[in-house]
This record gives sequence, C-alpha cells and structure tokens, in this order.
Amino acid sequence: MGTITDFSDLIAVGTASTAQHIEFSVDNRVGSAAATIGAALQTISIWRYNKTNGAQGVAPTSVTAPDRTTLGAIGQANATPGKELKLLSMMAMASFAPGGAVTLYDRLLHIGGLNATTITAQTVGGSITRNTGGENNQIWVEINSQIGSTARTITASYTNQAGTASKTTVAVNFGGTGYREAERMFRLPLADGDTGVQSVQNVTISASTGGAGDFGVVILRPIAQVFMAGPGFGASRDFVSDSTPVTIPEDACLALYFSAMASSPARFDFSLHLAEK
Amino acid sequence: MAGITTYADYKAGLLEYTLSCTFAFGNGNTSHQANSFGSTHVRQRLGGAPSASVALSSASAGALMYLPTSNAKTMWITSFEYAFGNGGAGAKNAPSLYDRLVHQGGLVANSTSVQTTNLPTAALPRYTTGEGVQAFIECYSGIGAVNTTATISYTNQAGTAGQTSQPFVVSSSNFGPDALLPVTLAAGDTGVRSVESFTMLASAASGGNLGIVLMKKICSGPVDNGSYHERQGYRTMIFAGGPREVLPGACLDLVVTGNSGATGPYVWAGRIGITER
Repeated sequence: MGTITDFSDLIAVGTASTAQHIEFSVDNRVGSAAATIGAALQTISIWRYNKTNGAQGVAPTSVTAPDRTTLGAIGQANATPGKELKLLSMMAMASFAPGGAVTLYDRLLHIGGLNATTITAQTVGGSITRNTGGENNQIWVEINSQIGSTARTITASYTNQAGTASKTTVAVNFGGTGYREAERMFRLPLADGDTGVQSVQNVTISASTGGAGDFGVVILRPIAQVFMAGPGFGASRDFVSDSTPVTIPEDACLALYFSAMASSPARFDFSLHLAEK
Repeated sequence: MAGITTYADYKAGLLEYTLSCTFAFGNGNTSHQANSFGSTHVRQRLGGAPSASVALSSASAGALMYLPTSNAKTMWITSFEYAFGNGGAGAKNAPSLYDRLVHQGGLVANSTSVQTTNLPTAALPRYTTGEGVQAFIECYSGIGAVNTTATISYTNQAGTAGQTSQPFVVSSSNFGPDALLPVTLAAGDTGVRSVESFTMLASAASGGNLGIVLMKKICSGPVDNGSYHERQGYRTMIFAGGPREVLPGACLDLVVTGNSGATGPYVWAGRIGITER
C-alpha cells in the first residue's frame, strides 16, 4: 500500500480509472464583488475566491474541522479502501496575477466571527481530525471582512506537537494597511522549538484595531507549493522526478493560498493530478 | 477505460500507434486581446464565428487535428510540446489543450435583457453529464466601451437547471476578438451540462458578437520564465500526472493564457502526441 515502485507502476496508476485530474480557474472575486487587491509580500486566502468548479467557500462562524466535502474544498475523491491518494503533479498558471507562490494545504480547522476590537482572549477550541499529532501544522489568521486601521499585534495560545498546552506564538502585525483587508492571511510563528500544533485555545490582540470586522483562525498543514513568475507564466510541479509523490490524507480539505510578489489581482489556472496506490 | 499498465506497454503503444499533430500559428491577427480574467485566447479560428449552437467533433472546422470518432481502444495524450515566439507584443503565453464540446454565437454586449439567442446550447457530445466541463464567453467581434459584469444561467453537472453563475467581469479594455472569459460557477457546482441564457449587468456602447463555449480541459503547458522562445510544457505526460485520456472524436483546441496587457500577433508552434492502448 502506498508505494509507487517503478516506472511501470507510475504509468499504471496514472492511467487507471481512479486517477484524478482536477482543473479549475480562480477569479479574483468573492461572490458578486471584486476581491481586495493583494499586496506585495502578503498572503491571500483563496478559500472564498470564485472558481470555475464552484469551489468557493464561505467564512466560517463556529469552530469546525472541515473535510473534502466542505464547501470551498477542492473536493478530490478519496482513494479506495486499502490504498493511498498520491499527488503526482500540480500546476499553476497566472492569467492576471503577480508573481508568487501558490500553496496547496490541508485545512484542518477553522473558525470565523472573531472581533478585532475585543482585547480579551477569544476562544478558538475545537479538535483537528487529521494529522492529529500536530507535527508541521501551522496557525494562521484569516480576515473575512476588513478590520480596523490601527496597527496592533496578535498572538495565539496553543498546544504544541508534544501535547504541551498554553504555548504562545510570536506576536505579528494585525490591523492597519496590509494587515486588515479581507482575504489576508498571516501565519503566527510558533514558540522557539515548537514544530507543530495540535490545537489553539484562543487568540488575543494587543489592543483594539478600531474596527471589529470579522476574522478567524485556521490550523493548516502545507502540502506543496508551485511558483508563478508573473502574468502569462506558470509552472508544473512534478512530484515523481523532482521529489516524491505526496500522500494526501483521507478526507483532506485541500485549499489554496497565494503569496504575492506585488500588488495585483490574483487570477490563475490551477490543476492537481492524483493517483491511488 | 483501458489503462496503460506497464512501461513496456507504454513503449509498445508508442511504437504501434501514434497520432501526431504539429501546429503553427502566427501573425494573422493583430487584434488579439489579453489581460482579461483568464487572459485566454482561442487559437486563430479557422471555422469562423458560429451562430446556432452545435456540438463539435474532430471533423468540425477549426479542430486542431483529426481523431477517429470511434475507437475500440483508449487514446492517450503522451506528449505536449509548445514553443512561443513573439516579435513585438511581448506576450509570454502558456497554452492549454481543451476538448471543445459545444459553441454558439449571436449574443451581444449592448443589452441588459436576458439573452437566449441560439440558446440553450446543444447537448454535450462527450463528457455528457457536464462534470468538469467549463463554460466560457467567447468574443467573435469587438464590443463597445463597457466595464461591468455578466452572468449565465445554466444546468449543472447534476442536471439541475436554472443555476446562476457568479458574476464575471466583462470589460471592453481586455475582451476583444478571440478572447475567452472563464465563467465561475455557483458554489458547489462542478461542471456545466448546458447554458440557457446570458445576461449583462450594464450595456456596452455596441454589441459585438459573443458566444458561449463549453470545453473540457485536458492539460496545460505553463511557461516558467521570460524568454519568447520557450520549449515548455509537458514534453512527456508521464511526469505531469500521467498520460491524459482523449475521447474519440474530440475537438481539440488550444487556448493561450496571456500575460497582462499584451496584444498583437502571436507566433506559436508545437506538437501533440497521442497513442492508444
């Protein structure tokens, strides 16, 4: 189970009826409105962006552990029982996007509806259902509607990969230009020595940003990146000859974020090529 | 669906049966537009602008290559090569290969009425459920000044009629002859079986000639740097997620994803290799 043993095996799984070729385009619109233009050196959540395969999510409210059937997930099929799903290749091609990296990740847990004027700890909670040991899991903040214009910082209290609770992330910018707009995402660096996250207890902002907005927290595990040099450019990642096929967890909630090199709308084509073994 | 089960099988397929198409286009049309969502362009059309909706096959005018309309075996695209050269416009564009299923024309941009001219689209000749089928708006002749959004009403992959797409931008500044706009679907829809109507939110100064195209993407060949003369793409599909199945009678069509702001003549060439097992 799970190992592609040789060239013949690769060809066999790639042409089997269970191989999946998922192709879609991303528009820089969220519902009926244009998305906020991405900023240089910022990360944009593609979760709610309109897509040609209808895979646009909604801002979460209560804490949930999404899976492949959650609206917004790319929605791959699971491997048949006893087999594993392998990522053989993925491609991103910018149609009107700045250069930058598209990251494929497994969205393990999310919550929204948090308030950027509340200065007391805001509960996150919940439990992840994949990669539960926490190794390589990350904590991100996701803006759902614009928060205040005053620059503050934000931290999270979390349980690390060893099960140690009440760890605190490094404070990062929160609020103010570049850190307040809808669809922005920022990663909260873990405490020194920590290599993953099992859960997040709460998040705390240093002071009010001056606007409540709506923000949330996401626990995710990055899977792979592909880089686009700019409009008209793209790249195809080959996980066979330049690395190794990546195992996609059962029920993974696959989603994307885009780390932009410049301020520009983010429109691109994306594809995943999966096979089971 | 027959797979290619071993490397020996794959090699035998290449030796026993290979269809090869070389293509070269260029310099005929200086009015190609870029910079739209998707920044996509059809290749230079050989079949003229359609009017009534028709289902397409490899025998249709404009199809990239002839494929048998029935075949006891399964045809696989094993290689896709592409080179692009542009003498003046500075475009660096990446190609995608589609099976063009259905198209029609006669829609206009200078009306806010629900347009049903030459609609609904003809029944899909392949991928008949619509799963994974993408809808596009294609421009056959230029529209007047406008910057608005439009929607389509369609039947989704499950056969549910009356679905409304997400609004997508229609702008005369980036939607000229031979441009294609990908349509983003309602949340949860993963394909299009037919299109029933087209509606502009605001009216353009003149109507032009627009149409609906339904296509299924087969593969892409992203270009990863700035040279005009890249030999890029999937030289062998084995390392791009596996050989890709192409259905008997497929109307293969190449679509270019352009870089921002570039208009002008294209010069591009390449090769598609197909085998059967």
